[in-house]
Amino acid sequence: MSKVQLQTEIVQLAKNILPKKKNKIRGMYMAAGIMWLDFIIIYVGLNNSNSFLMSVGMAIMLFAAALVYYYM
Amino acid sequence: MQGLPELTIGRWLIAWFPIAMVLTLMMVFKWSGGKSGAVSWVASLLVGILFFGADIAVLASGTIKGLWTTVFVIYIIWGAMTLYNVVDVTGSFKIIASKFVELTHGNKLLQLLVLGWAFPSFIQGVCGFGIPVAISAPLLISLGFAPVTAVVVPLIGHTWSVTFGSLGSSYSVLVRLTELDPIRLAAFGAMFLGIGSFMSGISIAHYYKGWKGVKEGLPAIIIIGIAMAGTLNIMANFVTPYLSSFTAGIAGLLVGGLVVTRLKIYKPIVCSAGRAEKGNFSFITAFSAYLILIAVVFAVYLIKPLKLFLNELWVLGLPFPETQTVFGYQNQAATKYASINMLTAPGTLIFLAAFLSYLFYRFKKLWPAGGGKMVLNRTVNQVAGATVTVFTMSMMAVVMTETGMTTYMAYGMAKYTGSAYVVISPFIGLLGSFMTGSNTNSNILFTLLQNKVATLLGVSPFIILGLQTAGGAIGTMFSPTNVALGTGVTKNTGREGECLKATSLYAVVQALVLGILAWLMIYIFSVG
Repeated sequence: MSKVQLQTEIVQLAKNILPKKKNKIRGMYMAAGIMWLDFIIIYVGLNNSNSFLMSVGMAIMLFAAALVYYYM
Repeated sequence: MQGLPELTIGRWLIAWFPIAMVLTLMMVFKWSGGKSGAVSWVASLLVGILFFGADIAVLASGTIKGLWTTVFVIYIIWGAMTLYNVVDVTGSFKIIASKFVELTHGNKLLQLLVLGWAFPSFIQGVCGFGIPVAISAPLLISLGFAPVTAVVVPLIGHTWSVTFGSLGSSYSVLVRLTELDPIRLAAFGAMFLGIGSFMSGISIAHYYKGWKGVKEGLPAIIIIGIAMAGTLNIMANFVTPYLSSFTAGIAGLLVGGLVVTRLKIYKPIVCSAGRAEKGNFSFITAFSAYLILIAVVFAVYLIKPLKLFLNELWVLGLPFPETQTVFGYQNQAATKYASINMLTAPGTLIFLAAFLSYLFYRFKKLWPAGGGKMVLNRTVNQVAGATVTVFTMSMMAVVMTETGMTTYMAYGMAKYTGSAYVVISPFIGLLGSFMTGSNTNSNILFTLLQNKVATLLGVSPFIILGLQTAGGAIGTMFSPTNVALGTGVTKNTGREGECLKATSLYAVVQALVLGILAWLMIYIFSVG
């Protein structure tokens, strides 16, 4: 395999793989960010015995878990 | 069984469902840790509602307490990976490794013991997550070892230093999830892992050359083993457990490189060592980041007034209200749940050392252009998976605890296994890290369960938790994630089965030896 062919293959491989990897990592961080923002909602609900707020918070946490499922 | 439903075999098996699910998803369906943890967290919520009378407050509390518990561990993981990358971008790791290649002459077994046992253990002391295998395996290949040997040896070699490695992230889980004396926990963990250290050395020699290899390598195994196990135990008992693997790894490297290589029986026969990579700076300069880390940690941990002063300055903790299931299982209110002394937390010290190392390398003109960006990018990419995995696993584990499932499982195990539980105990830790690829995650999953069973059986929780974490450490050698990492970095993908076959044998034997030893300690010698 010539050097040029090898370089072309490497570039092609990078094009195919890198965006997926980048999105995967972004997705994981997005899920982690949502979990911590949601932490505040659930925490406030828990300390005020507000079942509605806790339920909303848990629903958001389920969404974050779904993101983890999707991206990992 | 106050606050819990009546113990029946059916409900007891249902309580195991979330853990069984996480194990099945990872082992049978080969899902990642984060994905399996997310699904199993949902399973734990459902089992909690349907079979353990959990209401929304209990589930919400368990979920966010689980998330909060991870802060301390994530802080260490991020710090350790940052420090590792600061050293790596300057090319210092190649200099450190090449020094030891040079010192081992052409003795292949000695190379395996120093570069496949002591060296990955040292790296594990600073930074885990598969990095020890990722660095050692290609190095062994460059020395002419078969690809499978190059993967299997560091996998076996680094396990004993996993618990106190990454500056204590796995050990910190034991401390965070229980209210037991941390020093005593460390002492028993270090004792079992010290024995594990010898077993790792023997396993490597046996794997390479059978019993002939053990005989040939025995002097080196004894000397390096005493240095590593001795340092590990001294540090864990008398200085700080968070640095014990790190310093034990250094001791092993120094003794392996400077003492064992001078023994008559290991004098060079033929100098067939591969060419070591030479850099344009000295070994001491390359090693300076770790000397800085030692200085920072020693300063804070050994100067007691300084530590006490810093401890009081910033304590991070959150109050949580009491929760109770329909059956009456109570979780007490906490004023500062899982609080962290931020200025003396291992994560803070590692980040400080990383920053000081950066300044040092910059002063020495070793810092590459764009090095900061490289460190940030690498760290962010490397820790993403571990971060999310720890989140979901911890949420599942604490939900199971807050709903009473863990207690219920513990009652069942105590009832159904009796004194045999002590021998089974390390296999539970082993199973956890086999599935999750991490001693930390294994401890998150099983610490509370093992602690509870120990209490119910009336045996020392320190011994049982020592077995849990030692088993968890041993399990990392045949975790599919780590094996895949090893075969990946050696361009040996597809031969994972061969590696697993080798490591699983040594993992099972090591866990069994520890279980039997612990059984003798408890039931014959009344230790603990």
